[in-house]
Amino acid sequence: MKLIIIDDSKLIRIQLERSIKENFDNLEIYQAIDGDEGLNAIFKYQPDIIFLDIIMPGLTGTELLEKIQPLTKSGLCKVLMISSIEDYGILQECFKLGAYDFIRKPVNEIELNARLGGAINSTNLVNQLRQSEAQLEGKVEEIERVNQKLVQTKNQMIQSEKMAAIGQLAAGVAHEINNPIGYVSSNLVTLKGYISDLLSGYQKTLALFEHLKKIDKIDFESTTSDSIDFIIDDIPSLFEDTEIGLTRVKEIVDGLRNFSRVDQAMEFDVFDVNEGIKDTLIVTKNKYKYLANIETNFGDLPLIKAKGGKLNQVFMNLIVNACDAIASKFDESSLLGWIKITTEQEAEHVKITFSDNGIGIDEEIVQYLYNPFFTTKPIGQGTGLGLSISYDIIVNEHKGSIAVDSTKNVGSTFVLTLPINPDGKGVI
Amino acid sequence: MSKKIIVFVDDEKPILRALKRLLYPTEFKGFYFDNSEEALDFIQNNAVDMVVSDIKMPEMDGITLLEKIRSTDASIIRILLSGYSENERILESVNSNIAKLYLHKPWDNEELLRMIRAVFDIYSEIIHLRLENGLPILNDLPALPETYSIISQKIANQESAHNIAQKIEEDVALTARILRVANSAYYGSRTKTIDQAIMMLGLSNVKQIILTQSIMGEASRHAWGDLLWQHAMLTNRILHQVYNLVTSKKIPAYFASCGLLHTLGLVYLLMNDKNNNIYKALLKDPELSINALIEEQYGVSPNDFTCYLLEWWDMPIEIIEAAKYYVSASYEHAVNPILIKALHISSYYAWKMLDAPQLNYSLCYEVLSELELTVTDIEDLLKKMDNGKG
Repeated sequence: MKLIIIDDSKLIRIQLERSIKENFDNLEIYQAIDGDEGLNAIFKYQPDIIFLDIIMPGLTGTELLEKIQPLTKSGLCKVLMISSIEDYGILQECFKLGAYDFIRKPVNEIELNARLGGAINSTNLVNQLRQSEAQLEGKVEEIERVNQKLVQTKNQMIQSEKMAAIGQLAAGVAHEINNPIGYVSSNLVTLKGYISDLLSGYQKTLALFEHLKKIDKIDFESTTSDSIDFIIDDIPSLFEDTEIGLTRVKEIVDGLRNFSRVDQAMEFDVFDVNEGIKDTLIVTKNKYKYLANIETNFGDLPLIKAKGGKLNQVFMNLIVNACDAIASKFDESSLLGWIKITTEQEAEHVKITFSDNGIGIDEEIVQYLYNPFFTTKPIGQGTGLGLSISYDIIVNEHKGSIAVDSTKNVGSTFVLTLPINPDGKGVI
Repeated sequence: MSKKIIVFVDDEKPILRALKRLLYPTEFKGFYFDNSEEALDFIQNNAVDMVVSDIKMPEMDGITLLEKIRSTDASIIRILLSGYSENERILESVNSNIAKLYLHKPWDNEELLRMIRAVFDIYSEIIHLRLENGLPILNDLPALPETYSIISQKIANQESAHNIAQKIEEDVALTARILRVANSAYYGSRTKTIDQAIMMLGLSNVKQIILTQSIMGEASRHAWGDLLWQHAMLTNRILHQVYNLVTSKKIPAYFASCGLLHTLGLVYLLMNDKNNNIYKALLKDPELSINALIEEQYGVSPNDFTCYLLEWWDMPIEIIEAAKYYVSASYEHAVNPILIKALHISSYYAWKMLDAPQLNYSLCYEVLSELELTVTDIEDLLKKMDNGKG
């Protein structure tokens, strides 16, 4: 604790200091010979307790009190006035200006001990209070931080669950669609057989009519007509188009089902990264097909231990982001955009690179990229949660890493690395 | 021969009508039901050869239906036809032999017929074998090994993989064997625990390795025991690579142990050669074919016997079929022709690498070209495997 004695009387200063030192430990004591020096010393040493004379040359005790009012009023320091009997009238004013107590000249040791002891106790109490307050403030800040994190996590969870629910729904729909596709495609093949039988019957009948016409010279209307010729010509392409359409429906349904892999979203299982990316490309085709050419370069990868459904979400997120970046740079349907996806094995990791030639990311905002709710997309086009969830899936759940390299107006590259076995201990 | 009778069960009538149209011009007679109860009633009161059922149906689902049929008459061939793809329940019902085969909706008409014919073919072969009298050894069929039965029971009870792993780890030889398979090139792994191996290989494969080890473990005391083990392991490794090369896909868990199991009949019969007749014959003339010697002594070819054993032990139909046809690689209909052909190549090269001409057969080059492979492709693959081993 620090203490300053401000008095123009050397005698009083020495006497006070000596008495205090005799009775109190752990006090740093400074002296000032008048009000002006006192004021400087107060700012310099920031004392807890000040002994202040009232009548001094230059700055008087009351004037000084007035100047340090912010300190006294907030309890940062306590001022004890050194008062002689003739100053009693002024004392009243001193208390109004923030003085804490007073001692009388000549100094009585018992009185000094009592008054100073009180001031020290009071200072200690104030300090303790202030510490608790600071601690409390820290706690409040922490609670606020935790709360904010909780809100973020809740929103991520809602988003993840939404994705999972959509996945589940998609898988259910895909399974259900397989029933009608089953009989439609089977019937189509059967119908093709029927039509071919009917046609050959028709040709035979036609030949028979021609024959009868020749023998019996019976005059009957020609059974063939332009429209029937057209139908016969058109049948093969009719079947061909329908078959191609059905094949595509089957591919989409398969892709959708594999992509969602409901069973693989929650638990670690063996996962083929290349297959996952292929499935994701089928599901996101609608997004990129008029925007970008996709180039893939799939390396020879080992199976990894992962939550396949969740990794597919990350792939989808990166592809959709690349599409949005390309759309902001080029006019739609000009198809100048490209997305390159490369996979390779690097020691005990699998490295996946998604590059695009889209609008790129501003250097200043790269640091906010994985923050929840950070988005540059217009309202309604992005939640700002995609990359934060991706980060969570790759870094926290799979112990992998996600890195970005982007140049404004040139494009962005996201690099994911995933351990083959996130449990550590080398390869699976 | 009278027409084979097939019962189709699906709650969607258009599916049944499509299947009816498909079967109409064929050698099969179909009966169609849109609910399980009526189907079960019909099956219990009529001679039926095969049941093809959907899975998701109101009231009784397809898996329950097939389970009931199995307990009524296990000789009826049970097949699932579903739009759901390989989920746990389907895998488990095939692995636990509730369904012999799982077919996927939407189906290809020709392929569906081919599969049905192939299943009938393989079963008529097995029945033929069963009825054959020249098999004294069949009276004394090897019971399922004890560990295998215990593990199968644990799997059926859906005990945790960890519990199952603990049971396996009690057997040091078995543990070492499973880890060796798990750590072979195909899985590309360095597995140190059975827990991890189960995750990598899947329970059905671990089960099949246990079976192989139980039979082969006995055989290791025999003159050829070690050679046969090495051949089974090597074949399985090559098979996975060849399958991957042909289909660009990892071999499905259903039959990933096919290479391990495909000579069990040979192993078993060689072990039963108590008087060492075959060994003695070979001493006289080392050029003799062991397979021919066995057939002469037991009246059954080792492959037929393998096929019979595998069916007896409820192995998936694709494995049985591959074990039956792989040497000649000729068949009229097959459920999985690629597997048969890939096994033909793999087993041949495994014998070749182990330098065992008495047990080998001749490579059919047509099989290679049918898979769009050349001898160079296979040799490159073997070289790559060799390098990968170190």
